[in-house]
Amino acid sequence: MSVWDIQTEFAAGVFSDQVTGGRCSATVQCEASGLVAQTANGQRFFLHYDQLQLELGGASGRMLFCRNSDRSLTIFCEERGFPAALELHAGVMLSEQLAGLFSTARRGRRVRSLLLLVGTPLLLLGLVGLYFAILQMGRAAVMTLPVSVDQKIGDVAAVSLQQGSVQLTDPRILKPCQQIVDRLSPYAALPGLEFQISIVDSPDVNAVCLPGGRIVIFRGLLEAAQTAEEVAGVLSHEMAHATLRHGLQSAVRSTGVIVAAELLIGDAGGLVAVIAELGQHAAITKYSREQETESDAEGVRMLHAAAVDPLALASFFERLKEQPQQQLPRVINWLSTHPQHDVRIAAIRAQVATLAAQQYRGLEVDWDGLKQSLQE
Amino acid sequence: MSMLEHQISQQPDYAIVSVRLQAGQKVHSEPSAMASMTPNLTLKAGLKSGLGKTLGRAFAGESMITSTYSADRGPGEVTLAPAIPGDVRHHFLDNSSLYLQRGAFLAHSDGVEISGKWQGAKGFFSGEGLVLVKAQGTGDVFFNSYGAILEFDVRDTLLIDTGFVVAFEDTLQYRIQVLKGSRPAKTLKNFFFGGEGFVCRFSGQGRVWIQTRQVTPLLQWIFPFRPAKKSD
Repeated sequence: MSVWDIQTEFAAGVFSDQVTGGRCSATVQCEASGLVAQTANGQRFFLHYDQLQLELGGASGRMLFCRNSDRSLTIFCEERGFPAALELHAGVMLSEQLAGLFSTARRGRRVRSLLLLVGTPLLLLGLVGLYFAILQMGRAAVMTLPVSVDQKIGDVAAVSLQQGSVQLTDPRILKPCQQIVDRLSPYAALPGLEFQISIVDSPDVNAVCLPGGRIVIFRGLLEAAQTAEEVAGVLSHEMAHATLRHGLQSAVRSTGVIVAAELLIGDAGGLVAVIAELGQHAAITKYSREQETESDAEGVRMLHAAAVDPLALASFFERLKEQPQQQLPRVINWLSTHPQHDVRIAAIRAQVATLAAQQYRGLEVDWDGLKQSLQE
Repeated sequence: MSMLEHQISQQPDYAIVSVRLQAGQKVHSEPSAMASMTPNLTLKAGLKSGLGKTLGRAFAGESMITSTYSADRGPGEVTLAPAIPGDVRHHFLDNSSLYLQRGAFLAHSDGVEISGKWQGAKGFFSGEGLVLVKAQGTGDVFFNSYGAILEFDVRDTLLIDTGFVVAFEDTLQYRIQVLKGSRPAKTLKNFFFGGEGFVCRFSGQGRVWIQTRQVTPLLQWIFPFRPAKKSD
């Protein structure tokens, strides 16, 4: 590049007490012995090269400030070609200062880009980690919430669950079911829950226990069960979901990180609001495989503690499995949400084998009356 | 020095600016700033100065839409008011740029371009937004604050809490830094979501405008009084 290709006039600015306001714009030229800045109203400023002090700065970090020794005059310029023009004209007087400035800046840029290169993936990884950590902690925080939160969420979910369904109110059906629940409830892991039952006139072989203890039994379950103990087995499993607060945990999982973070500071309002907004029991009765396994174990524990034979649950599973294919649609409900039968049956049997000896007592309920009433 | 004849009144708490436009002059403001205008002015709303700058403004928390008042049919007057209570200042850009905090932009004359300036990590950690508003060119800029406005002429270095910065000149270098003990995180919540205890370290030579109140502490002060159902 020859001398002639280099731009010699640049848009710049001046700091000086001699201009109004202390600052004004100017054009700067590199002349043989120094910098000359000329303002719009004709003021001229001169900085000799050999007294020049250079500094990089400004909001962009690329503005070059040229000062005299007592700092009474500063000429600053952000244009790209300015440092090169300055070096060309000032030569040895400034090349050392310029080299120092720009190598520092370059080093800074290199460090920054390296940081960016390494830091961005790390930051992303950290954010993802934080996201899951908060979710995890949110789920843990669920266990510290008061039972009233469970009840509130259960109330909201019950509305959507029972929408449009017909309730069975025959005391010959209700009473035995309530007796089964009453036998189990003193052994619930979470104190303070009130287990209330309602029975829905639906052929589905299913039962649900909502957070807070509201139990909904579907007619199909009572029809498919052969003994009251089998019903007790299924109900113990469902009640375990409520006592282990699986519904709230599922809700936290599906509502996301903000709600989880709120729970961490002890504010469950967001969770209740989100459930209310979803208005759907599906959000809190979709359990994970781990939760199902946990509920099986907790159900077996409850049955054993209440002196009800826990193997009834396993035998109910087995019988469901052996149902002829034609009847499958009726039982598909419970099966589809409760996968891996054989594994579960085996797990239940294994757990029962480890339990302390217990004198199991039959459930003293009017089972035949219930069956008869269902047929009517 | 200024291009537009203007008067700022009701300072500092509910300041408003009235601009008297000579025939052919224009003033551009954020939408919904217009309080009154003479009927001979033409008001046009639209996107201004290209997609990049428009998006930049959006990221900086300003509106993508700019309202333009033109005195096509002879001189007229328009009064412009910011959204929040506070002061309004005029600054003349002399082939230079001014950086404005989120929401501080009110209006400008011809010759000035408003864009967003990406702050990167600086903005992320300060909690004051990722993008600053940059006004560049030659002409008038009007900006507003929450509370009154103080001017500082920085000669060497000055630390200013990020929540108080309204605007600063392009000749100032700035860095965000944590000032220990300036405002400790009291709860887990503001440890996660707050941007407190951050200061802007300005160095070099130039002017900084700060506001005498911050919005965030006001919101925190109001928060307990909000009409909301208590969860029991």
